[in-house]
Amino acid sequence: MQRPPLLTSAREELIGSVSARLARRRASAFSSAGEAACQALVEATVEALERDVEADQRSAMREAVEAVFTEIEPADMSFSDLRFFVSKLRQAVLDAASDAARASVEQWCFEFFGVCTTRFVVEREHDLEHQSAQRDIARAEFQLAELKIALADKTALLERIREVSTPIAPVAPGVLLVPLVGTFDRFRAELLTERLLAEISRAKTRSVILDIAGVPMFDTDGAELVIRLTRCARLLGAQVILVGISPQNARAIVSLNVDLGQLTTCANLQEGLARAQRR
Amino acid sequence: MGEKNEQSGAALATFIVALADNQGIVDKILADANIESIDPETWYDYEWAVAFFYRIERELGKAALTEIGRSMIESALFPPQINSVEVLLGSLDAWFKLNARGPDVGGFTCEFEDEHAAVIENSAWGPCSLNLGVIAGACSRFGVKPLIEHAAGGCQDPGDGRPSTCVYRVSW
Repeated sequence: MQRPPLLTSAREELIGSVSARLARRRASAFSSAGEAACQALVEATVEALERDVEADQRSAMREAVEAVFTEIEPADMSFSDLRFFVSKLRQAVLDAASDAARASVEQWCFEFFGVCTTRFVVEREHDLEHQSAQRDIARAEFQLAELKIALADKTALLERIREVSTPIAPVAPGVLLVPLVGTFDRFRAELLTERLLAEISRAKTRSVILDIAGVPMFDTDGAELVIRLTRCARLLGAQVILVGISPQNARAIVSLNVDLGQLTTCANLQEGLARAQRR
Repeated sequence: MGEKNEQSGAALATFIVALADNQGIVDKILADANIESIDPETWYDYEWAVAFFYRIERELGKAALTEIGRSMIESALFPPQINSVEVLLGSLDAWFKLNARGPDVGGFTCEFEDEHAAVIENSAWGPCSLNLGVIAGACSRFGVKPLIEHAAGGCQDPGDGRPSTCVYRVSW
C-alpha cells in the first residue's frame, strides 16, 4: 500500500520503537495489554494522523480514539498512561515528520489528547456510576435479606401466638376444652375451626366445651362464627357446649338477634364438664 | 529485628490525634481491645493496629482515612535533608520503618520515571486509602498537588487486613 509522504521514511521504525516503549512501561495498562496490542494501537493512531494531516481534516481521529479504548483495557488505563502514550507518540512523530508537517502534526496531537482525555473522563464516570450502582444493589440485597429474616422471625412468632391463643385441651375421655381469651375475630375463628375439627376427628370427641369467659366482648360476627363452628362439630358427631358467658356478653348476644337455638349453654365450666360427661 | 510484627505507639498516637473529632469511636475501639490509651513509647501488635485502621475506615469511610494519612505525614518531623518531593517519596519506606517493625510488615518502594512521575509500590499492611493519603501528604508538604492513580489492575486491597500490594502512579 502506498504510504502518504508524511512519515514514509521512518514509519515502521517509529511504530516499533513507540510500541516497545509502551509495552515496557512498568505496571501500566500497556504492559498488561502486551506488545502486540501496543503495536496495533500505535499503528492505528499513526494511520489516523497521516490520513487526517494529509486531508487536513479530523475524520480519522475518531477511529484512533476508539482504538485507544479498545486495544487497551479501559479499566486498567490511568491518566498517566494516556498522557505517556500521547507524549511518546507525539515526540516520535514530530522527530520523524518533515518541517512543513510539524505544525499540523502538533495540532493533531493536541486535539487527539483533548478528545482522548474527554473520553477517559467519560469512561471513568461510567466506571464510578457502575460501582455506585453495584454498591446500591449490594445494599438493597442486604436490606432484603434482613427483611426476610425479620419476616421469618415475625411469622414464627405469629404462629406461636396463634397456637397459644387457641389451645385445645382434652379434659376427659371424649371431651375437649377450648378456653378462648381475648378478641374472638374471624381470623381466630377460622383457625380454631380448622384445628378443632381436625382434633374432633382424631380424638373421636363427643363434646367440646367452649369457654368464652376470657372474651371481653362478643359481636355479631363472633356469635355467627360460634354457631357455624357448632354446626361443623355436630356433623362430626360432637356437641358444643358454651360456658363462661358473662352477663355483659349475654346481653350483647341477645341484642344481636342471632338464633342461638342450636347452642347448648351452661353457667360455668364445672356444669359444662358434667353435662359433657353425661352424654 | 524482632520476630513479631509491631506498630509503634507513636504512629498510632498520631493517627488518633488526627481522629480528634471522632473520639467516641476511638474510645470504643480501644475499650473493645481493653486498652485505656495508646502509649507512644510502646509497640503494639501489628495485626491489631491494622484491624484498628480498617475499623476506622469502615466507621468513617475511605475519604476520612485518606485525610488522616495526609495529616500524619504532614505533621511528621523529617531531617532537613528531606527537602523535595522526590527525596520524601524516596524516603517513604524509611519513614514507614520507623513506625512499623518486624519480619513481615511490608513497605514502600519508589521508582522515578521522570522529573515529575514516580511509581510507588506499597506492600505495607493496612487500608490503601490511608497510604494514598500518606503519599498525597508527602507531596503537599512541598506545595505539590499530585495526581495519584492505581497502576494497571487497580486497587489490590482486599479490605480485611490480609497483606496486599498496591502500585500507584504518582505524577505532579
